[in-house]
Amino acid sequence: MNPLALPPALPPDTNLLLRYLLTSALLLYLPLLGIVIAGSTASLVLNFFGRENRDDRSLRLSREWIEAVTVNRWILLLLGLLPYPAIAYACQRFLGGRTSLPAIAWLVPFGALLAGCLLLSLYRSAICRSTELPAAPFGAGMAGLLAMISAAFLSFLLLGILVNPAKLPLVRSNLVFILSWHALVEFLLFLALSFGLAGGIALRFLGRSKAGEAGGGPDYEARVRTAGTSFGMAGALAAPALVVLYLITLPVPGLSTEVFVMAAIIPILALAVFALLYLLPGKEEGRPGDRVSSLFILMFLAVILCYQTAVANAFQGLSAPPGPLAAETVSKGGKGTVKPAAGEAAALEKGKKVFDTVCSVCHRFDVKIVGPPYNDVVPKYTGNVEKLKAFIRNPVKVNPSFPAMPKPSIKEDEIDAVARYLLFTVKGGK
Amino acid sequence: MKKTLVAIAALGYFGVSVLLVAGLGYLWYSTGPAPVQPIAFPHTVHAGGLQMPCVYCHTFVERSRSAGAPPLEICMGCHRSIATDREEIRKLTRHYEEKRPIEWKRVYALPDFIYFSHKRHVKAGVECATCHGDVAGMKRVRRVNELVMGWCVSCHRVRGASRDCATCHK
Amino acid sequence: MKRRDFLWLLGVISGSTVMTSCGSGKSTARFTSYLLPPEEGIVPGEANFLPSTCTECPAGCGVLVRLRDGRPVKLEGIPGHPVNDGGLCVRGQSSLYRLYHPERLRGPMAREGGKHRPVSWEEAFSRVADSLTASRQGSLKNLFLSGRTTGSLSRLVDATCAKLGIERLPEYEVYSHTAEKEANGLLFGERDIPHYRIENADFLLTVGVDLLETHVTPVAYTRKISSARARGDFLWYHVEPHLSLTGANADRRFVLRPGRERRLLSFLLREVLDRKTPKTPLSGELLAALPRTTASIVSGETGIPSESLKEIANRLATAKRPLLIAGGIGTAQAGGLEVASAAALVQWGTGAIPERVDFARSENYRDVGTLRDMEELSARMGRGEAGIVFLFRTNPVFSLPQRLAFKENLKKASLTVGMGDFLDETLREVDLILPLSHSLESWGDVEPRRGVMSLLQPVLPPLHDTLSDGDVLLRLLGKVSGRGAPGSYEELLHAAWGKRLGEAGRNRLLEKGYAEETLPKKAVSLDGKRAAETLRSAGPTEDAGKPVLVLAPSLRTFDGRSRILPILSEIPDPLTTITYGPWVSMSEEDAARAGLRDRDEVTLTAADWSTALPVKIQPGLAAGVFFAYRDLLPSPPIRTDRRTGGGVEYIGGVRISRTGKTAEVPILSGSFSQLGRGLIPHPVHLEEGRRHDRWTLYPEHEHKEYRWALAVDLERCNGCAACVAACHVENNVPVAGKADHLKGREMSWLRIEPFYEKGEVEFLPMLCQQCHYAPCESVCPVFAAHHNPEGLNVQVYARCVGTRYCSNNCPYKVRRFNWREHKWPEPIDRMLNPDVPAREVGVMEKCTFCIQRIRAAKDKAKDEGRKVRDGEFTTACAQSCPTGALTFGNLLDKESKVYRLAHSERTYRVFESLGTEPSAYYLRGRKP
Repeated sequence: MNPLALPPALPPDTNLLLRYLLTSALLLYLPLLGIVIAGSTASLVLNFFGRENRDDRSLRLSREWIEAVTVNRWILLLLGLLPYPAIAYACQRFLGGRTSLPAIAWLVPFGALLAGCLLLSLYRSAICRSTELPAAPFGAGMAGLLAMISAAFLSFLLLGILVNPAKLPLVRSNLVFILSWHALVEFLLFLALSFGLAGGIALRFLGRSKAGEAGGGPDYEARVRTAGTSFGMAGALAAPALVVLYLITLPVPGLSTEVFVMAAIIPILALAVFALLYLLPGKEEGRPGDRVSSLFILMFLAVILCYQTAVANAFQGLSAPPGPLAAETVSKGGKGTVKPAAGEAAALEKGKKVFDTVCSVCHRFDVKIVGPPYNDVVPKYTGNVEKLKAFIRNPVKVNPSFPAMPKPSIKEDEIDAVARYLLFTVKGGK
Repeated sequence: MKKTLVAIAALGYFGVSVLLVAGLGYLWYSTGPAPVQPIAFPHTVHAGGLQMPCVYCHTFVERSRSAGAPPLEICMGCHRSIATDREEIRKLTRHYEEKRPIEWKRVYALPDFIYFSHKRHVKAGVECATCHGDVAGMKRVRRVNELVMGWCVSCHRVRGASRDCATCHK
Repeated sequence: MKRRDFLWLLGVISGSTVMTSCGSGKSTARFTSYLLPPEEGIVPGEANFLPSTCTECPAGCGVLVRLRDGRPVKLEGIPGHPVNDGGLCVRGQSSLYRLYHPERLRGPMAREGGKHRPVSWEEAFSRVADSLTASRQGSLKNLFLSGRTTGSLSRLVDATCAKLGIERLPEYEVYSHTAEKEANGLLFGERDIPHYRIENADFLLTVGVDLLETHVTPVAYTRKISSARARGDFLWYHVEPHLSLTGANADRRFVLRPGRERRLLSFLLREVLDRKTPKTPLSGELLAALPRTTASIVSGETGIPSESLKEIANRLATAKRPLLIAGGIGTAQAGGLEVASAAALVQWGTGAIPERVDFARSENYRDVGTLRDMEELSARMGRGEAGIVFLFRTNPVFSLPQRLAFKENLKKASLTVGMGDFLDETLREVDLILPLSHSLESWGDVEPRRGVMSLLQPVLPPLHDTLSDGDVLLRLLGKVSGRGAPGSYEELLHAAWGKRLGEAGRNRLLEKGYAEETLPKKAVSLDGKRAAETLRSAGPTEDAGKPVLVLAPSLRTFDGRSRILPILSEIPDPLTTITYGPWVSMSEEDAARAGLRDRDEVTLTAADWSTALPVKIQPGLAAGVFFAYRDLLPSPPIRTDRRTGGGVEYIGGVRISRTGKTAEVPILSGSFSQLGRGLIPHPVHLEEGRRHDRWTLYPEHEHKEYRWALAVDLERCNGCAACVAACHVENNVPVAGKADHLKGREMSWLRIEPFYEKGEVEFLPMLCQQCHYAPCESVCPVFAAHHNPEGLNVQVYARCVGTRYCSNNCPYKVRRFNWREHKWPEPIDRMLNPDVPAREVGVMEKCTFCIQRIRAAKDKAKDEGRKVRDGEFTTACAQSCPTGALTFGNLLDKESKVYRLAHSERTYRVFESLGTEPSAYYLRGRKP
C-alpha cells in the first residue's frame, strides 16, 4: 500500500451525513463526559477535604455532586458509551476506510471509558451509602477519574488527526505522531468548559437542603453557591485564552472565516457567564444555574461546530490522486496485434507517453474529442514518418470542420517518438 | 467601586481575547491562501472536466526544479478558437497580443534559502496532489498545506529520502 | 537540555502570534509566465551557457557566460580557447560587476552650464552631425582617439572616420609597449609585440615584464608557464628592480638597480653571441657595435652579484630552447629602446625566433601609439587646431601626466564627444556623452592576436539606454548621411563573418565563441644595419637617480580602468594584503633608517609633483626603491623617452619625508611570517607539519558514494587571486567595504595568504578545510554547523543564531560572520546567483565547496542513472584558476585526479597535528 496515499474523496451526500453524525455524537458525548469528569473531580476533592477536616458540608456536597452528574448509571452508560462508536465510525470513514487507523487506536480509549464508568459507579454507590468512605471506593473513584481523563485525552488526539489529514501517513507508520499541540489545547478547552458546566449544574441542582439532614442549612447552600460559582468562573476565564491558543495551534488548512467567527463567539459567551456569576446577582435572588449551564452548552456547541468546520476545510483540499491519465482506456487503436521489435519497444513506450500527456487532450484514435480521430487522419502518412513529423512540428489547418491544431511544445526526439507510435498503433504495424 | 473595576478588567480581558481572535483571522487572511488571480483560470474545467494531465501545461515539472506557469502559447493553442466569447479568454488574448506576460500570484512559495526540485520529486513518483491537494477540484487554487520543514522531513523519513540538511538548505 | 527548553519556550511565547504569517511575502510574491515556450535547450530554472569575450583588459580571453533566467550570473573561461584555455583572471571574474554597476551611464548626456543633463539619442546624434557638417567648412581637424581596438570594430572605425572626414589617431594605451615595438620594428621590420610561446621554452628569462599580472595577455602567459613547469624541465629566472607578483613566482629572482637593465642586457648579449653561433651570422658592423663589458663591471652597475650574472648568462647560452622577454618596467624607461633591442638581438642570437618568438601571430598592438603621440595631440588641441574630438573607451585625463595639460587643452576643441560606460575623469570633461553598452550586451568580435578571432555576443538586452560600440558608429553614419543607419552592427558582423569564415565557420564561431585561422610561418630577418645603428646611437646610461619610485601595473586594476569595480578593492593585493586605499611600498632598510612603520604617511616629491601616501614595508624589496601601483596615482609625472616616445615608468630622485600622520589602511594579514607554524612546510618546518598517527576517540565517518576534497598545488599557485573573485561572484559574497576591513571584518570566503621568508614569498590559499573532526561543529549550540555524509561541513543559515562560537573555535579562521546587513543596490542584485541564498545579518557563512554545483552535478547524474564522473564539474575557484592549482573531486574515486594529488609525496595538510582531518590537501612546492 502506498504509504502516502491520501484518503479518497467521499461523495458529497455521504460527507454531509457523516458530518451530521459526528456533530451530534460529539454534542452528546463531550458535555456528558465533561461533566462526569468535572463532577467526579469535584466530588473526590470535596470528599477528601471533608474527611480531613471533618466537614459535613463538604462531604454532603461531594455526595450530591456525584449523584447529580451521574444521574442514573444505566442512562449514563448508554448515553456516554453509545456516541463513542458513532464517533469512531465517522472518523474512520473520513480517514479513508476501516484500515486507516489500527483498531487498537480506537479500542484503548473505549476500554478506558468503560473502566472509568465501572469504577466511578463503584465510587458512586459507595458514597451514596455513606459519605465516610473507606479507602477502596475512594481509590476506585480516583482510578475511574483517571481512566475517564485518559479516555477523553486519547479521543481528542484521534479527533485531532481529522483536522490535519495530511498527517495520516505518518500516523500510520508510527503512532507517536498522533500527539499534537492542537489536540492538547482542545483537551484543555474541553476541561475548562466541562468545569464550567459542572459548576452551572451544581448551581442549578444542588443545595436544596432538606431540613434535618446532616450538613444542611444556609451554610450549605452558600457552600454550594461558592463551589458552583468558582467552577463556572474558572471555566469562563480559562476559555478565551484557550480559544486563542486553539486557533494558533489549528493546522492552517483547517482555517476559514467561519472558524474565526465561531471562535470569536466563545469569549463573548464567557463574558456573559462572568457577568451572570459575578457582576449581576445579589445574595438572595437569581438562580443563575440555568443560564450558566445553557451558556456553557452553547460554548460546547460552538467548539464542536468550529471543529467540524475545520475538518471540512481540511478535507476540502484532498482527494484521490488525479484519475488515471487518459492513458489505459484511450489507446484503442487499430486491430493489429503485431508485436514491435525489441529495440522499438522503448521508443514506442516514449511515444505513448507523449500521446498520453500531450495529444490525448484533443485526440483519440476512434472518436473525435477536439481534433479528428487518429484512425481517420494518420493512415495517409503510412510509410512516411517524416511527413507526419513535419506536420506535427508545424500543424496547418486542413479540415475546416476542426479547429486549428496548436503547435505542440515538445522536443524533436519526442516528435519522432510519437509519430512512430501513432503510425504503429493506428494500423497494426508501420 | 470594586465591582466597576472588576467589570472593566473583565471587559478588558474578554475584549482582548476577541481582538486576538480577530487579529489571528486577519493574519491568516493576509497570507493569501487562495489569492485572486489576474485571470480566473478554473482548474475544475481543465484538469477536472477535460481531465488534462498536469504536465500538459506545466511542461517543465519533469525537467526543472520549478514547475512554472505555462507559457501563453499553450493557452492560446486551444483558446484561439475555443470559448473566445468569454471575458476571461478575451483578457487572455489581449495579454498575448500585446505581448504582456501574465503575472500570477504565487500560492506556494518556498523561502529563498530552500532548494526544492520538482524534477526530483516527480521522478521519484510523488504525485502532484500529495503536496498541492485536489487542484482539479479547485475553482480558485488554494494552498492546502504550509510547506513547513517538519512536514517535508516527515515525508522524507517515511520514504527513505535523504534527511541531510544540505539536501534542501542551499 | 534545560537551556534549549527555555529558548524554545521564549520562542513560542514571543513568536506565537506571528506563526501563521511566517514565510514572508507569500501573499505578494508573484511569478510570471512566458509568452512563448523557451527555445530548445533552455529549461527555465536551470542554467544555460553562451560564449563571449571578456573586455576588462585588452587581452581578449574567451568567457562562457552562465545565464539563469536570461541573466548572466557568472563568467568562466572557455576551455580550449586559444588565449585563456579555461582560465579567467581576477579582473575577468569581476567584470560582471561592471555590467550591473549602479553608476553606469544610463543614457546620453550633454553638458550645459558645467553640468551634464540627459538628452535623447536623436538630439545627441543631431548635435554631432551638425558639428561635423559645420567642421567641413573650417580648417579644424576632427580627431578620433580610442583605446586598443581590433577586429571588425577597428575596421568600422576606419570606415566611419574615412566617410566622415575624421582623422583616426594612434590608439592610446597606458601600457603601449612602445620600446619593444620600436625595437622589433627597427630590427625585424615587425612593429608589434610577438606572441611568446613560452610552452616551447625550457629556460625563460624575464626582465621587468609582469607576465602573470598585466602584460599583454596575462592569463595566457600564466597558463603557458604552468604547463611548461608541469613538464619538469622548465626553469624561469626573473630580473626586476622592485618586487612584483611575477618575480615572486619565478624560480629565481634577481634584483637590479632601476634603469640598469640596459647594462645587464648588453652583458647577456655579449655572452650569448660569444658562445652561440646564430643561424644567420651577424654582420661585422653589428658585431663591432656590440658593447664590451665584463661580469664584474656589470655587477657593479646593476647590483647583481657577478656569480649570478654568470649563472644567468650560462643558462641563457647553454639552454636548448631559451627565451628572453624584456618588457613592462624593464623597457618603459630612458634607454628602453636599447634594452628592447638588446633583448631582440638575444632572441635572435639564441634562435628563439620563430619557435618561441612568433611574429606571425603577433599581438595586434601595431596601431597603439606612444606617449609622444598624446603629447602631440594635446599640443594640437592646445593650439586650437582640433575640431571635434571623439574619445572612445579611453581615459587619458586620468592616466596622462599633468604636464601634458590634456584636460585643459581638451576644452579648446570645438566639440568633445566621449563614448564610454562610466562618468570617469575624461567623460566628466566632455561636452557630449554617448554611453556604450557593456560587452555582454553587444555584438562584436575581437582579434587579440593575429589568427584568433573571439566572439562578443549579447546575452541580455541592454540594461540602460545605451548602444553597442558598432551601433553608435553606424547610427552616427546614418544621421550624417541622412539616410538612416546602414543596417545594424549585428547584420554587418554576420555578413563579415560569413564572408571571412564561410557559413560553417561562422556557425562554429557562434557556437564555440572563437575561431582560429592557420597562418603561414613568417620569415623574419634581422636588419643588421639598423641594429648596429640603434646600438651605436644609444646615449650614455642615464642615472635614474636615487631613490627611485617605480610605477608598477596593478594586478587588481590593470592601468586603473578597473578601479571602478568595488570588488577589486575588496580583494586584497596578494603581496601586501592591503585592500582599500593607496600605499607606497618601501624596503625594510629604508623604513628602518627613516624610522617608519606600516601605515605611516610620507610625502613623495619629485620635480613639481608631490603626493602623500601611507607606507607599507615590503620584504624582499631592495633599498632605494619604492614602488606604487600606477592606478593609485592619477596623473603621475611620467617623462617621455626621447627615443621611443614611450612613457618612463620610473620616477627618479624622489624625496621622501614624513608627514607625521598615520593613515587608515586595512592590512588584512595577521602576520607575514609563518612563525614556525608549518603552514607551508619547508625543511625547517617539517617537524611541525609532520603527519603522525593520531589516536582518536571520535568515530570514523562513513562515506558511501562521495567524499569531496580539494587539492591545492602550491607549486602552481601564483597568488593571482582569480579564485577569490570567482568565489565572490559565484557565492554572492558581499563587498564589505573599508570600514569593515579596518575592523578586520572581511567577508571573502577564500583568502590568499603571503608568507615571507628571507625575502622570498609563498602564497597559501586558505579556505574552509571541511574538517572531518571540525572544531566548529561540536560547539554550535543549535547544530547549525553539521557534517554531511559526503564529507562537507554544512552551514545551515536558517538555523544559525549568531553566537559565533564556531568562528572562535576554527583554527584556520575561515568562518565569516555577517555583522551587518549587506545591501545589494539595484541593479547589482540581479547579479546574485539564484542557486546560493543571500545571507542575512547575524548569520555565519563560509566556503561550502560550492555545494550548489555539487547538487546540480548529482542531479544531472541521477537523471542519467549514474554517479558523478571525475572532472564533470568543479568548484568556482578551481574552475577559474589559470594555473590549474586547485583540483576538486571525489576522494572515493580512486581514478580521480584529486585522489592522486592527495596521495602524492608532496602532500600535506595545514595544522594536521591538531587532528581536524581537513579535506583540503596541499602540495608543497619543490625548490629547484
